[in-house]
Amino acid sequence: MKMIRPKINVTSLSVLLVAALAMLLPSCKSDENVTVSEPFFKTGAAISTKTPLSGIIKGTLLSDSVYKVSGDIIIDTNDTLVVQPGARIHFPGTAVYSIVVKGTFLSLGTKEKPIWFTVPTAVKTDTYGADPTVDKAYKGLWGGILGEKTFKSIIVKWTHLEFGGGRETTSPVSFIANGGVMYTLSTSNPNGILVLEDSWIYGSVDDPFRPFGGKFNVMRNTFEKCGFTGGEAMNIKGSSVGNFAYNLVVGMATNGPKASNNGAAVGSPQTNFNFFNNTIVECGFRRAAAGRGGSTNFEEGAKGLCFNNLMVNCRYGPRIVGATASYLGNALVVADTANIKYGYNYNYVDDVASANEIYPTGFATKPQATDIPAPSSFLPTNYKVGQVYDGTSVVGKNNPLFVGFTLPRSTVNKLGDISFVGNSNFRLQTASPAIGKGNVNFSPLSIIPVSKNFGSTEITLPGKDIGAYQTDGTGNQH
Amino acid sequence: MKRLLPTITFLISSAFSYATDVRGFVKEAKTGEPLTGASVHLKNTTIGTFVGLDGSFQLKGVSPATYTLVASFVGYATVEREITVGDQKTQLINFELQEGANQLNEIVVQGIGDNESAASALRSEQKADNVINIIGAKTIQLLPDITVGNLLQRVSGVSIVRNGSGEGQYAIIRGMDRRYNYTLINGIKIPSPDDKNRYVPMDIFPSDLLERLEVVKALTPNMEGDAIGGAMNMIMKSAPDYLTVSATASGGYSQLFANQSFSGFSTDPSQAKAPSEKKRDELYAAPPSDFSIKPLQYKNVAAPINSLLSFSIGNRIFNHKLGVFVGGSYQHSFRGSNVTFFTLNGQPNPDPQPNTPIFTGFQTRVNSNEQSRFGSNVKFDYALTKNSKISLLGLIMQLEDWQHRSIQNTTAALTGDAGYGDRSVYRKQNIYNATLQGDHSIVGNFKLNWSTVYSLASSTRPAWSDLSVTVNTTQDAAGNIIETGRYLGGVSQRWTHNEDRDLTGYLNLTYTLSPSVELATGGLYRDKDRNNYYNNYGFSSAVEGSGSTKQVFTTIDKAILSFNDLRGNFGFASYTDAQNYTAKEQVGAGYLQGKFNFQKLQIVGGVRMENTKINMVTQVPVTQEGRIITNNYTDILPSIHFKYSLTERENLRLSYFRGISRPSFAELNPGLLQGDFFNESGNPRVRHIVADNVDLRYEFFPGGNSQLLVGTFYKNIQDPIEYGFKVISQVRTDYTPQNFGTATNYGFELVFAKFIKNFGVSGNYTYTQSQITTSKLIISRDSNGGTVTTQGDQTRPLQGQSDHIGNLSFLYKNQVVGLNAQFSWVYTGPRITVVSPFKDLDYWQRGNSQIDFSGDKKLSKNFSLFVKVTNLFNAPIIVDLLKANTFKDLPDQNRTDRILIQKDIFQQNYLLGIRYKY
Repeated sequence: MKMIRPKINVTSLSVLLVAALAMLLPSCKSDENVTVSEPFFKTGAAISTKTPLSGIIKGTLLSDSVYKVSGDIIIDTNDTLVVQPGARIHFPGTAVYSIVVKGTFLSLGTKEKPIWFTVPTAVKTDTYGADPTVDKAYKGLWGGILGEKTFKSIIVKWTHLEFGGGRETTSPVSFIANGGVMYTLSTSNPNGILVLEDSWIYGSVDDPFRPFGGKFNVMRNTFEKCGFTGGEAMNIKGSSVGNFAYNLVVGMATNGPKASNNGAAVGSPQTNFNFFNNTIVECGFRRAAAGRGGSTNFEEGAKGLCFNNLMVNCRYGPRIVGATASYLGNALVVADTANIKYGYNYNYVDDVASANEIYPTGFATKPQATDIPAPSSFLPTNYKVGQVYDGTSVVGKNNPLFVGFTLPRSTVNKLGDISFVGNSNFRLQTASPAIGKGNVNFSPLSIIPVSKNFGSTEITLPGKDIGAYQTDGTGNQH
Repeated sequence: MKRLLPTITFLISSAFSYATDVRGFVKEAKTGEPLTGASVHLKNTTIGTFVGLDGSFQLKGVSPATYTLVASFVGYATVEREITVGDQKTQLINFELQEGANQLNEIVVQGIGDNESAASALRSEQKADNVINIIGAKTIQLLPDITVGNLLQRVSGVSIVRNGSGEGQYAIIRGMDRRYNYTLINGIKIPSPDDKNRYVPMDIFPSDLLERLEVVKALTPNMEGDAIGGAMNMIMKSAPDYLTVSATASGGYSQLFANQSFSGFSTDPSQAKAPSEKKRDELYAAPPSDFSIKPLQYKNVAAPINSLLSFSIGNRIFNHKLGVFVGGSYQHSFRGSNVTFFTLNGQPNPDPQPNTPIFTGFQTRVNSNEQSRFGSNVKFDYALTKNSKISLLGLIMQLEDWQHRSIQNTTAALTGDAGYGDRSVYRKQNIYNATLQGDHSIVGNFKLNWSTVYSLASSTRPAWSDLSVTVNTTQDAAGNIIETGRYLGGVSQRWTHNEDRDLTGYLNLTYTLSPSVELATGGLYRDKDRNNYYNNYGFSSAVEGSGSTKQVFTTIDKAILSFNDLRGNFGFASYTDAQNYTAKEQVGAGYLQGKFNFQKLQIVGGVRMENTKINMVTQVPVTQEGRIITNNYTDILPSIHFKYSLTERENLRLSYFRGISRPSFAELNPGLLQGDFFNESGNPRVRHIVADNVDLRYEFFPGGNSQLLVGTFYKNIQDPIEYGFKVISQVRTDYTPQNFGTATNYGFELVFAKFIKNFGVSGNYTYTQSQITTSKLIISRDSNGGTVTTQGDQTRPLQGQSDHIGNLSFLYKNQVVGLNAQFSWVYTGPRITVVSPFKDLDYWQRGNSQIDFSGDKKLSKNFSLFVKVTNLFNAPIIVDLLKANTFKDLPDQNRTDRILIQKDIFQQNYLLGIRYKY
């Protein structure tokens, strides 16, 4: 859990110091400072690029190699599949295949050499206002990386997962029915661990990430264009525990992260998730149903905490279901409200409709004095939780001052048109009012081992700046 | 003693007459049963009458003279007797008529042989080898019921499960749910058109085709062994001895549509098959133009008229060697219901108590059901020789229904989506049966009986259409709910069909060793072929190229239906859905049965062996367990039935039988049906149910159509199948059918009928207790305040079992003016209708009383007028959760000790008709 940036600064400082000493003492012999790179992690046999991948596979997909997939891939119960940095796994895009993990799956990209799971023929239409109904991002061109009921670990680092979340005629896993949507990432084992760090998920038909139980660390990722007419960045079901932090989430159909304890298995833990230091931009606009959320959400018996999130033009502020409601067959059931802590959340809105839903009407989110804008600055004096209020006064206020994203947003585009990052930079300018406003007095859940290959690279502690990017260089590295 | 009460009544009433009354009884010579409906008149006068329900007649005010008194009845030799009427107040004359058709006189042919009368039904009950209840056609005709589904509720120990429009559909026999009972036509088992179950929906059969309905509650070795509750045997009408023609025509009306329009739809004939079926290509890419929205276009009809027609003709020709009977029935009706439905969340809350039910809102559902029911029964029998007869029976049953359910959602919260939806389901169910049968008396005392049977049951639901509309609402500054947008939520269309074909051969050989010993052996072989087809196309609410994922909704005609598939704007068949499967089953059975008469004691007993072979192919991927399921098991089913005749009119019966119940194919299918809160799947390892059953019954037939039956029963059910959570793996638990130890079911039955002159009262009452323990989920708080899911056992009655069920009918029959009237009351006590996966959250149907009225009046020699009114007092069907009510401010939540889940209101149905008989 060491901070990366300060360490680098210390090293470069010492290099300067050594150089200075060398000039002062030319006769002295300096100590050598050798670094020898380790080989990429490898297990079992190397897998050839000549035969397309299909069926039961174990071993190592080699660095900088291109692999084609021609069928569902299965990693058996006691097997491990390692993907080395720079490997590219190409799905055909004409038929949907998935990677079924019954054992261990390690996709170990690096900042310099990320890994790609993609469809090479699919073209991204990343222009504001592009028609989502023809966008390949929402078509589901391959299935997902699916942790079966026996899976041990799914470790995904510095990996691009693009165009996944499609429908398979014959489901390769026991927990999704034939003809169902395969989420880009999904699990069904409360004892399994899944790490998603420093990665990118681009596009999906429904949720790109839906765990049905497991232990998670989801940090420093970028989610773009997920869910066609519905879907959250991470739709957490029963028996799932972990962190969702430092993620940049742009253009989800519904929420960023949503936690529920729905379907918790006997003898397995209650869903408990920490949502903190996320930057969530223009979510909740592709869904026709109202009131489903557009930033973060706790419902149906889930507990956890929600701090330091920066919401920009989201359809709804953080939502906590406090009373039961129904949305055309979609039940919304009360969260474990007694065990949810939240505050220090920052909402920036450009229109009145969103301003009126910073504290969503009909729901149980209690305004916190630490929130920005300060609730006292715009809520009526005797405001009752969930009541209708007029948010006109906060429209366009508290601009978080991003480095490369102009606010107020251009009125050329309608809300929801900004569904990808592109050339935007959501780091904070030094004058940003979000700096230093975060809560650092809580701990992330430490249920995943910290390990280069078999666990989390870094379980980043709460950041003092609200949002995914910290002015000290920690947090999201994208 | 037997006729003491009627005689006293008769004496008292006659004391007030001043002219001489000629009174007496007409009974059947052999059995002593009253011949209700027989004619008694004084020859060459206009004085005459009919015999009442208790067998009595009365000719009032006869002047002193000498007369010839004539008693006659169809199928019986007419008896004439000289009487001299003097100045006494009354004169008693009794008749005993002998069977024999030769001396039939000129009186109207009243029926189609005496097998249909109540008296005959009683005689059959008395003479039967086993425990049985029978309703004859004459009784059926008088009852308010027009389908067998409704008729069943009049049988002792039987309660019914109603369909969405309030009509009886399935029978629960002595607390044993549908799965424990089977359906026979003329003793031949028929397959089911149901898409999931083996049991047959009984609302498909019009009741006017029946000669009688038998409910057999104790199986003999020569009967198929897979009934634990009982077997329902529909004996269809057969050729009478003389030309008989009857017809009825009636029209009716449902009170429900007095205040609201019937909202119906019609189907598009081009949509009978799914696009991929039409192309015979399961991978066919169907463009939106292959589909039709016609089922979602509704037309309102004000006060629609129901119509019922039936016709039958029968005769015996070629020197009485060839019997022919053709019967047909057509019913076209409009029914419906208004339902208040509280949507319960799939998972309860741990607060404030563990497993606290949560409601997400409530719906009002308006159901408009148009039904068209057609049944036809054709029978030929031909006497080859004096000792040899073959018969051919054909049966076609068809029930079409067009069900439109309109759903209006109301949220429990203040804002969000209100939303509404429409569902149109057209379904056609068919049962076909062709049976060729032979009865031969071979040399000596051997009798041979054989049948070859083809049966097909099918059901199809083409273009089942669902529409949902999302209505966004919010609150204005004043807190009023206002609509902010109306969008197409979703449209889906599905095609389902299933076929179940049986080829069966039966062979029975009987050897009469001596008048008191009869031995029988035989068996059957059945080959069953079943398939289920399910194909769902879900349309996208977002139109490709429209620039938005939302589609504003105005009307269905303006909605644009499209698909959002990676292969383009095409829909693809869901041919891998778990509900697609094929199954074959072979049942082979043999039995040995003996029947012994030792003076007053009759013993029928023996043993039956049934072998079941199953082979099933599912949609489970070959990489997972359960693609192919085979099973093979054999049951040895002993039974013994004692009948001891205490007196000529009293029997004491004791029987034991072992029966089985096979799981349905759907229950064996491990294919995953994904749910939001838990997954459901079948269980290929679920075992068939075996039960030991003991019955003790006292029967008293005091004469005069009166009867008293008192019985008790006990059932020990091993491996009962119920739904519960099963740990499929360490982490996956599915809601799946399982065997749960041993269940017991016991009870007490009482049947009585008493007739005094023109009045009768009959009724039955059954008390049942059953017990089963199953594992269920509990959502609660642990010591740290966290939510935990644990498993716990719950002991409860079997699904469908009511502690108390009963019937009570009051009859009035006046032969002189040709008037019959009957009030029938049915009570079904509280029972579990849905077994919840969560502990103590089962759905209980409230005790329900329904009163029906029926009557008919003879207009002329051949015509009569009849009227049937069902549900006189508009009794709702209410389903509750037995938990303290915290929703008292919501509509219909007026009980503190329970929460209402569903309330169905059907209102009255009226039917007025004309019956013609020749």
